[in-house]
Amino acid sequence: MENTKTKIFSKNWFKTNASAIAGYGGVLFCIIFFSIATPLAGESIWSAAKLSTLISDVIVLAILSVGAVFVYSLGSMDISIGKQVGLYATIMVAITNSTGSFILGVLISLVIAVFIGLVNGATGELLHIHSVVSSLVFMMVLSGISTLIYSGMGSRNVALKNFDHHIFKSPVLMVIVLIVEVIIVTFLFNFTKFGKNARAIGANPVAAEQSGINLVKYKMIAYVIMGVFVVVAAIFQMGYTGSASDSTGTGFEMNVMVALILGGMPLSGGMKSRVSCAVLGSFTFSLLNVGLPIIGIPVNTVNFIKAIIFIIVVLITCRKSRGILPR
Amino acid sequence: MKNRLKKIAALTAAAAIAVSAVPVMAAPAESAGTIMWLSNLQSGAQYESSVAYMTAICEGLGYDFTVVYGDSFNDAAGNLQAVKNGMTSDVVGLVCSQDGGLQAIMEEFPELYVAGYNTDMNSAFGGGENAGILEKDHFLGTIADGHIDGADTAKTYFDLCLEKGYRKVALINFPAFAYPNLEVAVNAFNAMCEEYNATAADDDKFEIVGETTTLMFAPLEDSWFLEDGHAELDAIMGFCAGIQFIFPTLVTAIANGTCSPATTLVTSGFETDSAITDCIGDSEGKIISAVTISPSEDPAYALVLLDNAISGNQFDDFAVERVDSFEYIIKSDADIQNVLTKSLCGTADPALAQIPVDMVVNVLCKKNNPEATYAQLQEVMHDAALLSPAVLAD
Repeated sequence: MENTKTKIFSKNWFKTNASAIAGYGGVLFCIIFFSIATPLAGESIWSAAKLSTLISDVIVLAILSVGAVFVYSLGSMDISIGKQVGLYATIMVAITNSTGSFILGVLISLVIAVFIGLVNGATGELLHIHSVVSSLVFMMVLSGISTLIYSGMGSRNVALKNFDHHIFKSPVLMVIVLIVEVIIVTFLFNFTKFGKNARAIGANPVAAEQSGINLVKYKMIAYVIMGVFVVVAAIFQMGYTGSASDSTGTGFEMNVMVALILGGMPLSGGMKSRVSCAVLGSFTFSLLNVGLPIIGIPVNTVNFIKAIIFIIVVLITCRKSRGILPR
Repeated sequence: MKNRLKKIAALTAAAAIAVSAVPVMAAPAESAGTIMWLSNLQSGAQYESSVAYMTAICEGLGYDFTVVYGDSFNDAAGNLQAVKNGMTSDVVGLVCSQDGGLQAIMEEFPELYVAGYNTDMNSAFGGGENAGILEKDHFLGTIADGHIDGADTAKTYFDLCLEKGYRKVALINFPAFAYPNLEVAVNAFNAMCEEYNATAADDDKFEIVGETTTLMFAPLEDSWFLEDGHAELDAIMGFCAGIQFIFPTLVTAIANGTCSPATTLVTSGFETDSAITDCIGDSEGKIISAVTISPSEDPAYALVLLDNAISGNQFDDFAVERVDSFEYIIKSDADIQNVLTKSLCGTADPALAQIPVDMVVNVLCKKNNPEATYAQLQEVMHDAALLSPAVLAD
């Protein structure tokens, strides 16, 4: 017993678990700090209105981040997800308006998402290029398609007609969808061969391949899973206002990266990748978004504070003296 | 040792955040509520001067004032989330400078009074996706950034060409799907030139070089000046934010010799950066010969309407509409000096506002002046004798 205690509080334990400490510590600090500070400023962050704001702020980011865990655990990333969200939201609105079928819009989006996922996952390995390159190509292609669509429509926005989108604004539905997603991804990630192999690829792709793991297959599956959740995120993004625009989803890929790092996700992937990183990071990100304005922090200072917290997490989780990002 | 240094750095940063948060957590003073500005800007001369002016007016009227930044691309969900994140129970009015998601915002906060500033709200008044807000009692109208009708903008640019003797020009704008009024402006400018050419002497005719260039929200390419006729222009008509998107490329082209040093820029937008303001004027070597901007006094329109609605003292002759902004035209060395040193826009000093804070609070608002009318507000907002660079000289 004494021995275990020593192990838990040893220097090495803190070193080994720095990412987890930063992830849990960050969200815990935000919860405690805003629970005390916001009522003093006149409005609790846990009031019904603010809780609803928090959920709507976090939902799209959390769905995207959790869906991206597989890809990031491989040591890969996808910078086209913002543009994908924008395109799928546009497709859903346009198809619903023209055919009256919302489901058809979702299905078409899913088909495109699976195709993009397969191509993104395969090209990296088959062409021996970093997967970010193929996602960059998709980002540019989707951006061009979006511009063509909106130029053709003669407007920067398109709104749903004759379809009640308010169901997608329900905080209860948002929470349920997020919980279901977390359960599915956690199961796949922690309790299946696929999850273990994905982490093994991230830890050492050469060793994984020589152990008989098919890199192309697992990367394609990881990107397809993420693509499916990008469509789910697009539904909530579009449903929030019942509209889409040529700028819907812009910058989401960066938000996902920041959320994952805030949650303690190693960007190089590997065995230390955890689903909880995505959830913790997303909530930390949104708690700051919602909490800081309540306590009177000027809006032009909020990003600065978020940047400082980001640096703090990076400093804490940086394991190598020469390292910059958590590995 | 290095790890210890990292921890010290992290703790110091965390402490700095905690300490910086303490002063702003002080209990707010009693007020009639808070007016929130959903801003389309985050920095720059117009942002600073607008914040200073709106803060001063709100103080005079007994409100607190707060700013939230709208989505950089005017996305509906981004704007709604920005408002929700900044919303507190004491917010009673919203000044909107972006129209994306406006209907969703008003559905989310039905008790909130909303007035626009710096936006023509084409998505509402033009029959777009926010048209439903025109049916809502709490929507009060908007004052645009410049002219609502692109033909009026074209007239300003055309008159500047006549005045300054520019005849060989090229046109640049933003895409029509994003700014439909700019397409109207370009078409109107072309029509005015054709009409003028019909009766003008041969050496006085307008020559519009090439097709109109559409910028996809990216700066003008250097190679544009290598295209036929673009190296020897009298002026470039920037029907877009030319200070940001055309000026830097033009400066480089003149320095590289790919563009005549006599070519000047006529456009809109304003910054107090000396690298830009030193290039504005009518003396030799000035690259920007004319700049049009909307006065930083424009928020007075929205704030007066909001205060009237919140206090239950709306004008008897009030109508919900969108109105043009007065147009400030800076076209000489004297103008730019006056604007930089004597105007609200150039100094961000509310004491220099050409529509003084005291006038807004005590004359234009109906709760302090029962005789105030909407017609009077309109007149003041468009009074050339009150609002112009020339008046600043006095």
